[in-house]
Amino acid sequence: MSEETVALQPVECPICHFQNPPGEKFCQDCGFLLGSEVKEIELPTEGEGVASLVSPDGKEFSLKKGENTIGRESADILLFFDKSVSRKHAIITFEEDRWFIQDLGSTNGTFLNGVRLPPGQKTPIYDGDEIAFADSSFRFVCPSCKREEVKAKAFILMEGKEIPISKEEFLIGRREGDLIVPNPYVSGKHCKIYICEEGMFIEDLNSTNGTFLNGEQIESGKRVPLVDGAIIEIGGTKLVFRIPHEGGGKDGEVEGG
Amino acid sequence: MEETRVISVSPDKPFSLEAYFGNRYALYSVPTRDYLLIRLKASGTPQLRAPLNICLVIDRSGSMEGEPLEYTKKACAYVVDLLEPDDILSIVTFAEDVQVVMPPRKVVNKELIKTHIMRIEVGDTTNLYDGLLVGGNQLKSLPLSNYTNRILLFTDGEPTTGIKDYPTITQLAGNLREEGIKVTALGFGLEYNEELLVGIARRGGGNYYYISRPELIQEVFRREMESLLTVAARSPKVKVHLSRWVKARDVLGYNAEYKGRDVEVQLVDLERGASISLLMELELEPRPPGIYRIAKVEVESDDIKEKLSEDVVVEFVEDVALIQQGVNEMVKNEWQAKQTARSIEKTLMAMKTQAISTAAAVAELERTKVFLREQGRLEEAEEVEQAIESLKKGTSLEAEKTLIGTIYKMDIGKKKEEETK
Repeated sequence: MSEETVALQPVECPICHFQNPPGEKFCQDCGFLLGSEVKEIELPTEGEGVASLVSPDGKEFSLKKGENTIGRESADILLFFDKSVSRKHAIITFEEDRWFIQDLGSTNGTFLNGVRLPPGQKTPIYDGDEIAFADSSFRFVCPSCKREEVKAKAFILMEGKEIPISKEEFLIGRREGDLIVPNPYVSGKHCKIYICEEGMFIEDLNSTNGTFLNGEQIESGKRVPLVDGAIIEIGGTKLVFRIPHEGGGKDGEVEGG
Repeated sequence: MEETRVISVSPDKPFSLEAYFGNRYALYSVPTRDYLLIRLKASGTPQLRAPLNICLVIDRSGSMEGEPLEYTKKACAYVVDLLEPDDILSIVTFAEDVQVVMPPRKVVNKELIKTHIMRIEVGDTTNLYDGLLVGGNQLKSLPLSNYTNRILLFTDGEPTTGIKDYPTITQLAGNLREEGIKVTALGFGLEYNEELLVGIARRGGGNYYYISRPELIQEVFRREMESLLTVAARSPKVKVHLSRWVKARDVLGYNAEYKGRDVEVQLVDLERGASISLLMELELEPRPPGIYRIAKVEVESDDIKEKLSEDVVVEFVEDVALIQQGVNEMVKNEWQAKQTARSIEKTLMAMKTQAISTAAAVAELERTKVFLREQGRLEEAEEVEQAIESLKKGTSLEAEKTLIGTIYKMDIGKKKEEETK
């Protein structure tokens, strides 16, 4: 008689948690040698700063700490199937415990939460951010880098998208700025929004085609107060300035409402 | 429930299965790309073979007149001599039309069959498509699963009558293969198109031969018959079941079917004392360190009752230094062989387009030959040597017809193993 006992219960894989029928040597799902040592190590799926890009169909591209190039040719994340992606499109870097994205002057642009990033500018990214390289979109997943809950004091609605204004000086322009408006009638640096103790203002930066507030052109170089719902028009693009209403939050220092 | 696992391979199994990944180790933290080598090896000891059901499809176009046809008749008669009473033979000839010289018959009265063969007369043009079609129909009149089914298509020229376009002809070979009939293409002389014939062999799952002189016709028929008489595994089918976090990127030299986590590849027949090697490029995703089965390889064939199965196991480690120690030389060699096939192909294309001089082609092929010898691929090295000789004589057409066969053989990964005495 054999002394060997065969497990009669299903065996859960310690790695992928698949329930294996009794008697399996390797996990039927991930292939782990059942009963072998599980090394204690930072798991690639959790851990500090571990991040990946997930495509809408569930494909996961893990990001390595350091530089991750994205492009159509010889990149770390190779999007060879998408002709709209430039050869060297963008780069995602990990520096000082934070993740950043930077567009490398791509033809069709890199978009963060629907907004085109100015080429060359390093922008921090957080868990759940939507990132698109031209037509290829991904979700940035990094459980350990949640967006700090700094409530934007105001935001701009552009083509149905909310763009938070989380800086004291918020530049809008076609070539550079915190908000890039891809419209040929918008100047490189078009206007600036100020959020300060004195209140909220907009200033036209001597743009070619001017900045219009509620239908009237504002004087260049002069700060004009902004109120909730103000319509800003630059080169024909309409932006709506909004101040979030406080829903009984504790840091309720926003004066709007 | 009790499960018994057959671990030892019984010595009377017609062939064995081996599977190796390019490295025993992989870094756990980054993706790994390497090749999975699957090798079927047939033992050298004679086995009971399945009876043959073969059809000789012979070109009797005008250009065959005289010596070529006389030698071909002799070769056909020789085939008759090699067959046993259980084997089935049919003979079809084609010129502008197709004639069934002999419908499928058991090879009992050999002398009578030979008199049929001797009556074959030359015609005019070349209706290769219909010849192949009628040949297939001869085989199909029998239950195919009981036999090793093969068409030997012998031609010396371009199709000139009937359906002439190459894709339709190779498609026919592909269809026949799906029905269980393989097609071997034998090209004679310098007038036939080697790309068409290799295409027929590739789609038809058979062999390709180039016959340079009429005196060699019988010898080449003998080689093909020898391979048919020693088939150890008919149409082996490989199924690779990939574990999670493993992706198949490519299968070299073969068409593969991708079904979710399974990859299936239909191989060519395997002869006694030979092996077939298949390379599949895999990508392993990062995962927690540990020992994992990355793939389970299974092989099915009509000639074995139970599937053969192999686990491919890789240890995912933290230590980069281990990676260098874990390299599998067999996988590396096989990959180099595939690269060699590509480099021969490049030389061949350059020769055809006259992008390189004969001297440069010779130099290139000399290098390849040395490399093949080092790799122990003597048969291929010999063929490359022949091609070099042809080039030196100034008959580059001959070289092209030889080399394309070498490329085909290396693509399907077939190799004669060292004779074990």
